Amino acid sequence: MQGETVIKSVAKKPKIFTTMFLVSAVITAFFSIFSLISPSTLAKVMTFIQSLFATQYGWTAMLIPVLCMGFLVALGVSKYGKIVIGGKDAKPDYSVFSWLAMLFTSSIGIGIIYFGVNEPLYAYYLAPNSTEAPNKMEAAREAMGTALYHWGVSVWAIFSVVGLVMAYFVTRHNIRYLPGDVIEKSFGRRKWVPVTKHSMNVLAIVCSALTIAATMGLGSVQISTGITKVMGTGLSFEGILPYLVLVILLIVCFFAATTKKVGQGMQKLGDWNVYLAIAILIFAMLFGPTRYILNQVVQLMGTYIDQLIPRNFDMFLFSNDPTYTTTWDVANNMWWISWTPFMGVFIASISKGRSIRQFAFATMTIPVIFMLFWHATFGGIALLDAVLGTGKIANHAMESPEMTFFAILETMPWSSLTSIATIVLLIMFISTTVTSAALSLARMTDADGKEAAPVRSAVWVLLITVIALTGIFATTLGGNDALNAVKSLATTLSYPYLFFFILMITAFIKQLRKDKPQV
Amino acid sequence: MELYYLQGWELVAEKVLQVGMLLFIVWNIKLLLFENDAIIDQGIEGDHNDGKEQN
Repeated sequence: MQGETVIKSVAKKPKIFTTMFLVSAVITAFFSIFSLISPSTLAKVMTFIQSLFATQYGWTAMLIPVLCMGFLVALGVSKYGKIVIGGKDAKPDYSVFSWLAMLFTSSIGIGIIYFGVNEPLYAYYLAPNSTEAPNKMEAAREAMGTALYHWGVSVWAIFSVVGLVMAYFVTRHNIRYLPGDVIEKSFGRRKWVPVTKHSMNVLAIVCSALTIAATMGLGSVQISTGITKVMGTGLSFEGILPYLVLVILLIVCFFAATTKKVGQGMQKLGDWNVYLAIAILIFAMLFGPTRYILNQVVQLMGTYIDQLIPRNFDMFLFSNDPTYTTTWDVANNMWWISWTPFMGVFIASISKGRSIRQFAFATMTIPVIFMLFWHATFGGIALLDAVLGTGKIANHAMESPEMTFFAILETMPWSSLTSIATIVLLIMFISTTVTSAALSLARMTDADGKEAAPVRSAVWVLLITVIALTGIFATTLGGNDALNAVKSLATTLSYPYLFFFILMITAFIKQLRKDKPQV
Repeated sequence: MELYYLQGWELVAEKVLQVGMLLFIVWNIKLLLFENDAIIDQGIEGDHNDGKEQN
């Protein structure tokens, strides 16, 4: 009899629509409908809450990356650095290149074309260390430093810590792929644990879905701009172009998320994304102002090393713009923290066989070296035009930022060809991000928190696309920036997540002390 | 100056949020260093559905 029960329970079909899935999907859907019906109200409410928290918790948001950096370095050089994710004999599923390529493309890769090129210009015109610099030379130097700071070691330290914590608990303690379960495992029977765990899990899922939806929506708009640029204005389908792009993305992501060999597909996509990005970068370095770019690489490296620690502590007190830190540096850190729930799960799922030391040092250095070259090339060209040139590229950054990258390509030969390559790159970047997010969300909403069932992954792809679609639709209809409302919502939700983030690090240190792993 | 010397509900909100975060940090330090896990965690394995180690 007992044997029969066991057989029955083993043969039971896995539940696709779990309670966790339904609760988070309903909350996500509620916000997306709200953003469609009244984007301006949503944006107003969210901006209010966000500014309140950003103003009050600016110091915490600035300290978090520094703590993460310090924590990773300390772990990396300590005896714990030798701990291998998945056990001493675990072999990595992916090569170092593929592993880093997947980390890069599923996270900040998507933003390097949109914000990556605009950031030095924004910093040049808005950041106090540039606007209040004694001369152009200092202002430009500081602007480049600020841009790389927003995409540099601090961002990777945040991702890496969360990924490491998830990977450690999932592989060593076999918990579910859910941040709340880390708290339960480490803090056990304390009264506050169940409520904290459930709120953390739901918030992590909703936050991830909204972050990715906003990114997907903004990306689709940029792809449409690129297509219009290549094919010329006046296309009969220009109005519906963003929707067409979304449908293409939906099909690609659907296919990528539901295919049987998900890991291999993601690995290939990640590799090719990075190859293409490197090809575009080399092209720009060769056909752009090569000598200036190389000079910029050297100078930016120096500026970054010089500012690596102090910039993280700079609150710009007594500057002429006291709101700068809140609107830029703090908002930037919070935006990346809003990515951590799904990034943590994704990193954990691909990092078997990597040691903590590798985790700490590879993730904090290699992607940043790539970003250094990328910023020095594209951001550098944009800044050169703003400081010594026509200022045409800078105008794009202020009025239509999705055009800036294409405007830079126009200054080089074969711009149509490179614009097409950029569109392909954007589609690949967005597909990788959305797919990895959908897979993480499917894992997080699984009853056992382990499997990313294809049907559930597909439903998440669909939900994310619908939110992005409503964002674009509301923006087209009412002229209100609904996509930014969704982005603002995701950032706002990441403020309560800040508390969970700190708690998760406490849980990890506590667990390490309890486990006393043999190394 | 008025940026740092708030009035009315803004002042109350600031104090609540700041003190809240500081207390939260202190609480984390207490969790990490000053709690006897042996007593609190007694019998945890197997009682919980999710955070427990799965087979």
